[in-house]
Amino acid sequence: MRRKFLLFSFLITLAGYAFGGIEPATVKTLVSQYNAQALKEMGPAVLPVLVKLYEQSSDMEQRGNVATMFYQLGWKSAEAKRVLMKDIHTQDRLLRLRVQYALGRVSNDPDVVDVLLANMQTDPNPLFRDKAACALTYDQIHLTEHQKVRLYEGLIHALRDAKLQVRQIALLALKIRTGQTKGFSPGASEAVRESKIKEWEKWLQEYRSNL
Amino acid sequence: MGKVAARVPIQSLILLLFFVHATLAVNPSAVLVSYSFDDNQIDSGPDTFTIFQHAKGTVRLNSVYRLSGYRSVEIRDVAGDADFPELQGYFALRQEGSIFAHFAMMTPDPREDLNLALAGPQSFTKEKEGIVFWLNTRDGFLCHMSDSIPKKLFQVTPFVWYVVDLAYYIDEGRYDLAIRQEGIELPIVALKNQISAFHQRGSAVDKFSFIGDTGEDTSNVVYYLDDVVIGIDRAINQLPFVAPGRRKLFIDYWNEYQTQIRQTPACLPAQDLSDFGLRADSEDDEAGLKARELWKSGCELLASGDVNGALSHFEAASEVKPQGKIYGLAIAMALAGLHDWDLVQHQMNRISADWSGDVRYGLASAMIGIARGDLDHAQKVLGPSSETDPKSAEEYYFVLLWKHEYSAALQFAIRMSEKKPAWFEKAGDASFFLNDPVAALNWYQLALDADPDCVSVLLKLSDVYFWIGDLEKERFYRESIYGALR
Repeated sequence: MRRKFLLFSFLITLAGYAFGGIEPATVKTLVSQYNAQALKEMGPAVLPVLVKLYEQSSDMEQRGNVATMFYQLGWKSAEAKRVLMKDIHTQDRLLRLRVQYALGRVSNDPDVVDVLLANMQTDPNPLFRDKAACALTYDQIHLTEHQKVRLYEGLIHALRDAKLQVRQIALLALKIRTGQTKGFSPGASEAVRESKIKEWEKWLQEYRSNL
Repeated sequence: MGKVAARVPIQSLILLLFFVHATLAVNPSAVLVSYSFDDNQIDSGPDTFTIFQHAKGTVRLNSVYRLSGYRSVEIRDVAGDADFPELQGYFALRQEGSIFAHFAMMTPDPREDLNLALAGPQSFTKEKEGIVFWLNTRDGFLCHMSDSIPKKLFQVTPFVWYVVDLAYYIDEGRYDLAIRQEGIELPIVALKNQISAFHQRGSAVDKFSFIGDTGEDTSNVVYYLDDVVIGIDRAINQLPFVAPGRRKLFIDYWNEYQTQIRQTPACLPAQDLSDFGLRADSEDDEAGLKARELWKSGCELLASGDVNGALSHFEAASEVKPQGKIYGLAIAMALAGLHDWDLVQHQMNRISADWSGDVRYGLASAMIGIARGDLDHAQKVLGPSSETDPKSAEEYYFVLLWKHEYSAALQFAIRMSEKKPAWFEKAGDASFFLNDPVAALNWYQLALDADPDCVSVLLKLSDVYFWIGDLEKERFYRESIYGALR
């Protein structure tokens, strides 16, 4: 019995050292409390613990809470991105929104912008399309100037989408990010829209040339 | 800038910056705001600016780095302090026509982010009547935002002054931008008809802002601003880079103060809030404000001849706010008025460390010497004892300067320097008064050899090189001062 107890204690301690001395149970509690400040004070060593918590949890709400913590920490993490991407197409509403918001806060990899652009244009659920646009607007915080060009390119491309809503949210994203619409009206005729898209593309060309 | 609505301004202890009419053929009525940062008065002026300074960043006057006059303003941001310092100025709303802006800027480290903008009632947003002109540094380059595109202008050189001239055309939503670099005659940037920051035509303006970063909280920038003029007269863009003689040197301080103050003991002028132990955000510092009022009243009493009354005011001020170094000097002046020479000497000895490098201490010494009797008597009295008594020596030297006997002052300083290396600097000063820059440089170099980090000597070397037109050497010493101060 004593031997088992000692072995158990040793394993717990080892786990503690594996996570930089951070207790997973503590992190779990802080996540449930939405206490991002306390997690921040633990430093980046808390990220693997959060990743593990996300991955091992079958509770969608808990995963969503972890995603929210990733969002609030705003630290880049390849592992965080990996686990979040697994749920980028989940039909769980709350989790989906939180994952879409959090991805750009943990990564500036091109496939993050790509998947959000795809969600914005092709997801069957208009709410998910709308919130993907929000994520592209507000939450791509690690993008370099070159990477912003790709984002703008995707948004401008979406101005040609057949769906009115997609054209509206793409325009809104461009307006918020650049302060401009260049006169594009999502409900105008295709010919009129196309002339404005050409202005956007010319603008993008100049943006690219200034890099 | 985007978070202005959440920030509470610190008003009215920004009592340093004044409404000064621009010079050189600019119609004064066309000037909306003008800051030279050089006025000697520190009472409140027109309420045309606000300083935000809640965390570790600061906005304050600086007398070390200036393009013209005596002072510039320093903006210093600190990363990780959850805020940013800001100098924000405002003027009457302009909804049509043109706005012209002229200002100088310099930074020791262009790798750190800084931002400045002209904006309207929608504050620092991308909306119409938000930002119309936005200049910033990114990765060592100065950039402007035009048509929502960040565009590089040039790589910024540390410690170099750049003068920016902007003409913004409100109706068209476009601007001309010219930037000149010190030492280079032609502008290094000359752009015409640029689309405004976020391509908004007819976007009115009523404010400008200078900050560190825009909320990322990653910048440790330090930068300096001088000669800010904004108005509706195109002549503002034709203000010279530096008017000949406009940059004030340390001997100008001496000469200007000397003409202002009488030969009887009087309060010396305050230069900025730090003289009173105050900061720009000291609006809640009741003790500090009370002490300053006591000093002001004391100065009036001293001027009226009520020396005892003045002394009690100055002593009360010093007790309430010991950090206010000017109170100690005022006490010395009052004691001189009472002819209590032992106490005067004791007081001057006590406060001398606080006044290292400040020309006002020398002036005070001269005034004390003069108060002992007429100048010739002072010279006679002080002369024999001066070479053995350090404080008498200083007083004697300053009396000679006061009397414009610069050659005698130089010879005296040279003799004193044989015993004390600290007198090399005074020999340099006397040489400067004698219009002998070569000799001044030699003496200052000796002073620097004896004390390599002496900021006052580095400043004077910088002044001498500026005076003789060697801008490269002047910049070298600017950098040396920065290194010595860190």
